[in-house]
Amino acid sequence: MQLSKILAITLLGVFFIFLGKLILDDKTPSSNITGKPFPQFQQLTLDGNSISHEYFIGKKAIVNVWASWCITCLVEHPFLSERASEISIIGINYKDDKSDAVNWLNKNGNFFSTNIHDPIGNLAIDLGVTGAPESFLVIDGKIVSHVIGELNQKKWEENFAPYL
Amino acid sequence: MIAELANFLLIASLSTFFGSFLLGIYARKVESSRIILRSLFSNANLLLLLSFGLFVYLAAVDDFSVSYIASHSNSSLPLFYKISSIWSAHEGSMFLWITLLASWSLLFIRRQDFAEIFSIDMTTILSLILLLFTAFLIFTSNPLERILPLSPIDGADINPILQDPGLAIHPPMLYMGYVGFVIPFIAALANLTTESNHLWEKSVKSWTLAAWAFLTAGIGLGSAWAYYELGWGGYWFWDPVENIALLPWLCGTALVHAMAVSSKTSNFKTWVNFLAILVFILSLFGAFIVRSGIIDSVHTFANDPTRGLYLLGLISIISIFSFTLFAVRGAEFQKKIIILGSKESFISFNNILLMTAIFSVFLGVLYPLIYEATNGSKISVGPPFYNSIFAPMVLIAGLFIGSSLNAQWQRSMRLSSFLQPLLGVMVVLLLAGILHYFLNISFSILELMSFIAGTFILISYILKHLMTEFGKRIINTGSLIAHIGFGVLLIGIALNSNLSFQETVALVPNNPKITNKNIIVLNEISEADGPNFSSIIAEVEINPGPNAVLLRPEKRKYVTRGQVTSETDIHSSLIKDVYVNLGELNDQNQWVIRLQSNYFISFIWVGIVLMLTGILLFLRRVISATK
Amino acid sequence: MHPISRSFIYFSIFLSFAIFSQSQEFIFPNQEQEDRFYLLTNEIRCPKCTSGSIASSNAPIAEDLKRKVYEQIIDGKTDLEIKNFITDRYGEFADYRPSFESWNILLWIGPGIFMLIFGFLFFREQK
Repeated sequence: MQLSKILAITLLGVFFIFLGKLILDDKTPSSNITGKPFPQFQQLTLDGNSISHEYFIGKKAIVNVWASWCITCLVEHPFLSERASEISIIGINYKDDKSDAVNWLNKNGNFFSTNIHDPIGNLAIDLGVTGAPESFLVIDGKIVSHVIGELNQKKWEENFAPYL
Repeated sequence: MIAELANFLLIASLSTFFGSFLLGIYARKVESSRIILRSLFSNANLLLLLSFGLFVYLAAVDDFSVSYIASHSNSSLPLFYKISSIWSAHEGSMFLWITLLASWSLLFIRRQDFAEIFSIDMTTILSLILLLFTAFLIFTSNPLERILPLSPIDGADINPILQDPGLAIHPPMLYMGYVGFVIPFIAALANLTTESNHLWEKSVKSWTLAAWAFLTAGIGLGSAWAYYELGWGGYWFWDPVENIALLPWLCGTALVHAMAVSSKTSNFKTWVNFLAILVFILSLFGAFIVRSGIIDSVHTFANDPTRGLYLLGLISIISIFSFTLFAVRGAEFQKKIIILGSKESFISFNNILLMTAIFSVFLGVLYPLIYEATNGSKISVGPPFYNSIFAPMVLIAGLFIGSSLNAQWQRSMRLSSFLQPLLGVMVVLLLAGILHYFLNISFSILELMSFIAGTFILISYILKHLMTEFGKRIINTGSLIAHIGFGVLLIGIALNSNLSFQETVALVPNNPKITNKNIIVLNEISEADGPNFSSIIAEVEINPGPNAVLLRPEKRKYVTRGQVTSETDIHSSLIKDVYVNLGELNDQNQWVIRLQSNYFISFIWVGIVLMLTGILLFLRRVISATK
Repeated sequence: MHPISRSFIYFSIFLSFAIFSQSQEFIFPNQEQEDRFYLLTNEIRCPKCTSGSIASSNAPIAEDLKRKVYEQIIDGKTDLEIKNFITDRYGEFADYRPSFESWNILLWIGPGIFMLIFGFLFFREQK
C-alpha cells in the first residue's frame, strides 16, 4: 500500500471525528470544583457578621453567586425564591457595592439565609466562578454540583434534584 | 426588482452548472458536443459573476429590503465599506467564495484545449463542485433573501473594528488563495479519470503558484491587521482558525516544491497527485471550520451547527470521491532511488517536514476534541504547544535550506560542497556568541532554534555568492528571494520574542512614573469628536529628553451602537516599535496605560513581503517558460 | 436563528477580542517578575472567553485572574504554584500548555513520531 493512500484514508477518518463531534456535541461546560470540599475562607456577611467555611459543615445548601449589576440574576431570582422553602440558599454577593446589594435585596426580596460579601471576588475565584450567576449544591461542606448561568427548572432537575 | 434578478441569475447559473455537468459526462464520448460544453460552462460562470455583481450593486445603493444588507451595512458608511460589508458574515462571504471560484474556473477553462478528454473531465469536475456549492448557497444561506413588505429604513451598521482597509481586503485575498487551489485539484483528478499520465502538473504549475501567492498575501495581511488594529501587540495567536488557514499554505508549499521534482525526474508523480488533492480539501476544510462552531475561535462566523453539517456533508462527498479515485487509480511509476544530498532528497525533507507540520496542527486542533470525548473534561492546546513543535521543525528546515544550495538533480553533493554549509554553521555560532556575550541577549532554546535557522539561511546565500565562480551564480532569483525572506522572518520572530516587553501603569497627568526600563509621562488627556464617534485622547511621552517618543493613543465611543474601541498608537522604527494603548480610568482617577516595546516587527513584515516577491518572480519565470 | 441576531454573535466575538480596557496597574520591583507575569498571563486561557489568553482579554474574570497572578508573583510564588492555583479552580482547560502527563505525552511526542515514521516510509517508497 502506498504511503499517500494511507494518508488519504486517515484524513477521511479525521472528517468523521468532526462529524461525530458536530452531532454529539453538548455545550455544557464542565466544572473542576465538584467533588471538592468547599474552599476555606473567612469573610464578612452583608450584615457585617463573620462567616467561614465551617458554616457548611453538617448542612445542605445551595450557594448562589449574584450581584446587583447582574441581569440574569434578576431573571433567576423568582425561581430561587420558590426553592428557598425547600433548601437553605446562601448568597455570595459578587464584586458588588454593599449598599447596592442591600438595596437590590430590599427591592427584589431577600430569601437568602445569609449573604457572604465578596467585594473583589476572591472567594468566587476559589470556587472556579467565571461570572454571575453561578450556583453550587453543597452537602456537608462538600461541593456536589455546579451550575453556570441562569438556574431554572431544567438545570435544577438535571444537576441538583438527583442529590436532594 | 434587482434583487429578484440577481436571485434569478443565481438559480440560472445553478441549473446551467447542472447542465454542463451532465453534458461533460456525455461529451467524453461525443466529440461534437464539446463546443457546446465550453460555452455552457463559461455561461454558467458568467451568470454567477453577474449575480454577484448585482449583489455588490445592491449593497452599494443601500437596498435594505435585502435582509443580509440590512443587517450588515448602513447608509452612512463610505462606499468602500458598504461593499466590504458583503464579506463580513456567513452568507455574503460564502457568495464571494463561490464567485472567486467561478472566476478562477472561467479564466482557466478558457485556455484549455477541448479536443482532449483531460479538459472535458476537468470541466465536468469543476461543474460538479460549483453546482454543489451554489446549491448550498441558494438552499441554506441565500444572501439575496428579502425582508418584505416591511423593510428597514436603515441598516444595522458594520462593526467599527471591521471598518478598516486591511480587514476589507484580507478575506478576498485569503479566499483567492483557497479557491485557487481548485485548479491543481481538478487537474489531478482529471489525470486520474483519464489515466493520461501526461505532464498535467506542468500545465497547472503557474496557477498553483498564483494561488499560493494570494494565500501568502492573505495570511500576511491578516497578521498585520491583527498587529495594528487589535491592540494586543501580537502578529500570530495560534488561534484555531489561524491554524486551519495555515494548513493549505503548508500543503501548497509542499506541493510547489514537489512539483519541481516531478517535472524534472520521474519520482514524486503519485505524491504530487496526492498533494494537489489534499491542498484543496484542506482549503474546503478551512471554509467549513469557520462556519461550523465546532472549534472555539475568535474568527467563528455563525454558530449554526445544521449549516455546518451540510457543509461537512459537501466536503465529505468531494473528499471521499477524490481520495477513493486516488486510491483506485493512483498509478505506480518507475522511480529512481533518491540519492542523499541530491536536490530531490532536500525536497523530500522539505515535504516530510511540511507534512509533519500539517499533522502537528491537526493534532493540536483535534486533541482537545478527542480528549473531551474520552475523558469528559476540557483541555486547551495553545501557543506553547505550537511554538515548541514548530521551532525544532523550523531549525531543521533552515539547516536543510542552507545546505541545499549546491545540490544538483540526481547526484550527491561533492565533498567540497559541504564546505559552505560548514562555514555557515561556524559563522552562525559566532554570531550567536557575540549576541550572547556582548549584547547580553540570552535566547531561550526555541528562540535560538528560530534564530539559528534564519541566520544560517542568510549566511549560506552570502557564502554561496562569495564562493561561486563568476557567472555561475544562482539563476533562480525567485527562489533566492523567497528563501531569504523566510530567513528574515525567522530572525524577526526570534528577536521579537526575545527582546519585546510590556509594562502596565496607571498615571495622572504630568506625574512621571519610572518603571524598570522606561520613564512614562501622561502629558494630557483631551476629548474630541469624530464623524460618528467621540473620543478620549491621551498624550503619552516615553523617556522625556532628546530621544523622547510622543504617542497619542485613543479610546473611541461610537454613537450608533455605543461600542467602545481602543486605538493603539505606534511609533515604528527599523528595530523597535513603541506601542501604546489607553485603558480605563481607575477608581483612584488614574489612567491605565499599557506600553509595549516590540522589537524587530519590521523584520517580520519585510520577510513576508520578500517571500511574496520571490513567489511572484518565480511565477513570472514559470509563465514565460511555458509560453 | 434570525440573521440579525446571528451577525451580532459574530460581532460580539470580535469585539471582546478587540477592546483594550485594562483597569489595573501592574508595577513590579524587578524585571524578572515583570517578564514572568506577561509570560504566565499569555499561557493562562481565559475561562469565559471564546478563545484567547487572559493577557489578551478584558473579560472581568480575565482581569481578576491577572490580578491573582500579579499578587502571587509579588508574594514570591513559583510559576508552577501559580499555574496549579489556576488549574485547581478552572481545570486543565485554563492552561494553554498541556501537562506532560499520561495521554498528553502522545500529544507532545506525536509530531516527532510522525516525522520519523513518515520520513522512513517516504524514502523507502522511492526505492
